[in-house]
Amino acid sequence: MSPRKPGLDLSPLRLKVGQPGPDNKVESVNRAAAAFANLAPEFEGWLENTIRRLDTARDGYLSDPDSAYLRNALLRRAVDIKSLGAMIGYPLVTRIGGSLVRMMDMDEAGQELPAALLDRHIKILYAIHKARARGTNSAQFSSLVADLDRDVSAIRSLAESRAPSRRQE
Amino acid sequence: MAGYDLSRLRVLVADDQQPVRILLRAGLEAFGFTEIYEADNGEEALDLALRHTPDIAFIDWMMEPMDGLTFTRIVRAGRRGLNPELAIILVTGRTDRKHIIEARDAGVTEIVAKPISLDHLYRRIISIIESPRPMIFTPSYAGPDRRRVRGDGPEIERRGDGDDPDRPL
Repeated sequence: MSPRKPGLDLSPLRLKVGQPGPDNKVESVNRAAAAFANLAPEFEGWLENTIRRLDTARDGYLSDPDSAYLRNALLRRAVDIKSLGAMIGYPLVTRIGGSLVRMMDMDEAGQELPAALLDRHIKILYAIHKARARGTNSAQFSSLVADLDRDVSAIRSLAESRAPSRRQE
Repeated sequence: MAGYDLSRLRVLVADDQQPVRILLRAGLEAFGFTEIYEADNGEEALDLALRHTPDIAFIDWMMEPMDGLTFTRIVRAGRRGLNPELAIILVTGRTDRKHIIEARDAGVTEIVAKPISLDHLYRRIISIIESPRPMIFTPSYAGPDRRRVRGDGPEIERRGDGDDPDRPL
């Protein structure tokens, strides 16, 4: 069956919202940012809970690294960290979550997940939360996060370089 | 960019991370949406989609017991009496090429990266109203055209947060 040609008819959504009005993108986005700001008193608790859930998932994973279910649970919590951080003013937390996800992806490829590096991620997350290190201004934490990025990249490179020989085994 | 009366559209939000649901709801209300239903996972989302016939669904990928892609596939298959033309915006922290292709093949309408950028979220909403992707209708699939065409398909913004080095589609 042929695709519906764009522009020849209006989408169901377009029909429902009616005629276009004046551009209000800036006002809408500013209102949403203000709505986020109103939720700020919740942010520290949300972040702490999200880190603790990651920590619990870490314990589960390390209790049985061969369990795909527990590995996936840890990955979900890492994605949670990545997702939440920058939305509540902690971009370094998002970077750490991204670093964890990259490490998980390496594990997904069948490589061993380095527990020590996993633990460094979590320790730095707790430290950022304890210090209330919002934004990217903390030179100390920025440096620690850059170290994590570098070490994850190095481990990934090593894993990828070994991958062909692993497949041949 | 034109403005629209978004209060005429019903919205479904499914995410297993409560803080993200709260933030997303706050943002969507600020944009003008008034009828918003929340689910904790894909199963709940299916139930709400059946009962409330939303126009747009913002769906997280990694949820249990049913994830966002399974939700999408069931909707696109037209099963359970669901509206297969539901606009599905996948809201995900997994935005590398492999995952974008998987999401497109499942039939998502658009992808919004986590952490969510309010500006990007607003632009994506207006985009699916004004410039919907061509639709395909077959006995087993109804939804956005999944064929890979340059410049036509789920797009993703790049924010240089140190994650996901792969290029988007």
